Amino acid sequence: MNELSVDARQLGEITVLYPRGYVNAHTTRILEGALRNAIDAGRYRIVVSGAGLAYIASAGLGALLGVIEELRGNGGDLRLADLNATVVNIFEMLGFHHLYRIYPSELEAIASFADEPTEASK
Amino acid sequence: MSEVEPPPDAILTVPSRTEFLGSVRAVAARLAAEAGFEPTAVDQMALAVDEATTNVIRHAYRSAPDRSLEIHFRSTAAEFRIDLLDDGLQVEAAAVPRYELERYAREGRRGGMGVHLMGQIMDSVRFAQREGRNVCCLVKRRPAAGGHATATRRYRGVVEALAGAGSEPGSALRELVALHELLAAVAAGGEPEALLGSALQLVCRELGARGGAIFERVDQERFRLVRRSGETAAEVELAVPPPVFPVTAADGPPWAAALESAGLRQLHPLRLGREVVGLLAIGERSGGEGRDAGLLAGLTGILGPLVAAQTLRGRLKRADRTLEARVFQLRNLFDLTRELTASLDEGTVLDLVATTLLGHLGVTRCAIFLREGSALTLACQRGLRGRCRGALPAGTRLPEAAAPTSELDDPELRAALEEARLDFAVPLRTEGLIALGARPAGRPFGEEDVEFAATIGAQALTALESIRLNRVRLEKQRQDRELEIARDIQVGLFPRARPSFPGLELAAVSRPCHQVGGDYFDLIRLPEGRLGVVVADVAGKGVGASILMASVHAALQARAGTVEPGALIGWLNEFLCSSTRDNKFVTLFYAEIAAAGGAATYVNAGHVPPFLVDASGDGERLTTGGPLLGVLPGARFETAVRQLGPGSLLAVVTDGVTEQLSPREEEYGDARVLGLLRRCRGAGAEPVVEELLRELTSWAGAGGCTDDVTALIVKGVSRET
Repeated sequence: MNELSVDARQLGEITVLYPRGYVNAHTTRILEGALRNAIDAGRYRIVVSGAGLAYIASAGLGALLGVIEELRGNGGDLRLADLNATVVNIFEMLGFHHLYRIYPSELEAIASFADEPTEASK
Repeated sequence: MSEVEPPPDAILTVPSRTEFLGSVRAVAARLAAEAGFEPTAVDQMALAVDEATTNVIRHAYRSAPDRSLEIHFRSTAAEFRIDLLDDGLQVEAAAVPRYELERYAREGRRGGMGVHLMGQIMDSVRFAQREGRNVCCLVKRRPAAGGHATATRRYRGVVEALAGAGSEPGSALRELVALHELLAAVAAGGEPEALLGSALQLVCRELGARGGAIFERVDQERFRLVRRSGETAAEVELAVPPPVFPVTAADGPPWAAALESAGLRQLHPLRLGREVVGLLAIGERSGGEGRDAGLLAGLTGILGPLVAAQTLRGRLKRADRTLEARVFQLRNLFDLTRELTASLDEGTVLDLVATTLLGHLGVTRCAIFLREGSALTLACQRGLRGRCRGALPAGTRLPEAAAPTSELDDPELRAALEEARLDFAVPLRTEGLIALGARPAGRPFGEEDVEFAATIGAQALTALESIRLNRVRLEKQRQDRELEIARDIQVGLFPRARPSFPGLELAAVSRPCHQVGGDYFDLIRLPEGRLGVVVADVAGKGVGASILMASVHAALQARAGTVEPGALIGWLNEFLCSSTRDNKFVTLFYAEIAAAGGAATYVNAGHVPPFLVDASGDGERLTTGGPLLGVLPGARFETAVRQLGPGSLLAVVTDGVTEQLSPREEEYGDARVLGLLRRCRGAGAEPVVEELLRELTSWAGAGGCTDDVTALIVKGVSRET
């Protein structure tokens, strides 16, 4: 049984990931794999839409942190949206909310990229 | 009657575009929460402000995107008030809801319920005109403040009525009303910090101060700013506790400078019992200093316990947070350990360690180097974007303890890590190194962080080691299984029953030294009552040797007796040369014994020469033949014929017999074999084999066997018996 699934949706240049379940040491490779797929396809603007995300452990936070350099270095970013109170609490507890831009809704996270020119259109 | 209108706590100027609604909601929610409202009320008020803003954009500005509106927020002890000011069209309040409701019905728009909704949420919604601008005023009263607030209003009414009548109300009465109002705010409850904020506003107002601040005590020496109002600077540092209260700018350093830079004039202690738990600082007062001593004492008396509650709450919250973080981290460690134990390959272990390190320490770059031979190889990385060398040279000196990169002794290592922007190095015994990027906001790596990295590193090494051992064990299991298969093949090749043959007694033994040997013998019934005898030693052991042995077996079984022995072995040599790889060869002795008279035609292909002893005890070695098989294509093999008369004994053995070592490393040797045959030539074939085995065993002694042992004994007997 897998405790995590990650669906992906492509909206123009933006990849939206929908993790569903628990991200722990066992399942973090699934999340990392989904992030990796986007990056390998040259997509550096990623929104993790967390409505289905029940819990995230250090290993999962590490998966998100591990791609930041590559995304930002290529003019992209990883933004979070629609996180439940448990997950927000984890980010705040560790002070990680300063590392990411977190939006109340997926739409706002997606819109936040719209104001920024892409590498391609610069 | 002049309305008391304190300046807004915050003014938000927003462009007339709906994209900013999210920000408006966020600001409103934050301020409402700080004002001490419950989360549900906070959400609702944010929604009401959203609706009011939408109204302004849609109706007052007709969705023109280049206008702006102001939103004023005020929090007092009694209420939270939001004013929206625009300079667009004046909109009939009554016209708004129907429009919105239609729109709601038509577009299925959620949440756009306009003024109705605002009215439901807020205690009052008023539309007015002020200084040529439209004002929408939303008011939410504090929940429990009802009784006290009403009383305060009534008392204040009395004071103002007295003032209006030209009589100066007694200062005692004014103080009483002020204290009552502060108490009312406290009684209304809410977040202590928000409460302190409204209390401070009230204090400043009552004392006529241009600004003020409340500090809480952090420890013996330090105070922390909790709330400020009016013209007080945002950054105020207070380090040494004041000796005598009140402290003023006239008291000189260190207070004067701190107070003055913050725009403050006086410090008053806030006490809980006799202990100073905080400070009230007030700025310049319009009525001059020194008045209202009674009021000040009353106000600070109420503020003292409030600050103490706030401090305690803060401490509890921090302790709670720390505890929560600890629990989270322990859970992670447990999670990690379980996962590491279950991991079956190095890649999974390293990925897991890398992501856990990043997630735990909040860093975005890391590298794990592991010793591979004498060099350190980059085994796993995150966030380095190809800026890191794949390996560190053999002489690299690992630090003995965790250290910042800048303090590393080895210049090569330091350069490599600096290149990759890795700021901190944690050694993994002498087996490797974890290197980490900078922590967020430049925080240093603390002792706990280092301990954590070292602990996970050690766990990773253990997991990697156990994976390696597991692999060795699996490999061993695989080899064992292979040997078992090989043995099964071999056992299948040896003749199952010893054929009886007139005029001859036959006995044979083949004993592998280890599980599987390279020795082989066979007895083949040939046409016209002849018998084929084979003893061979195949190079190597295991499945490969067994398959080669099986080829020899199959080839001889198929062709023996169809051509003369020399041609047969020549053909076998060609077959092996063309079908075997390097280093695969066979030594082989083959003889065909005729049915009558026991004439044996033999070929020796590089094999230990068999021993032939006749009835009189004369011995001979059978050497005629050619080279060992499978090496020289085109080799020719000669044959010779010997008579196996009654009483003669032929012993075909492998080098495991002649070269068996004694504990003193002396070979058993040809002479001893020959001696044994002479001694036993009166006995049958079977007893000779048994005697040979017994002698070899005692010769080997404690050293045990050195190679496979195979012996085939053919004894000529009289045909009558």
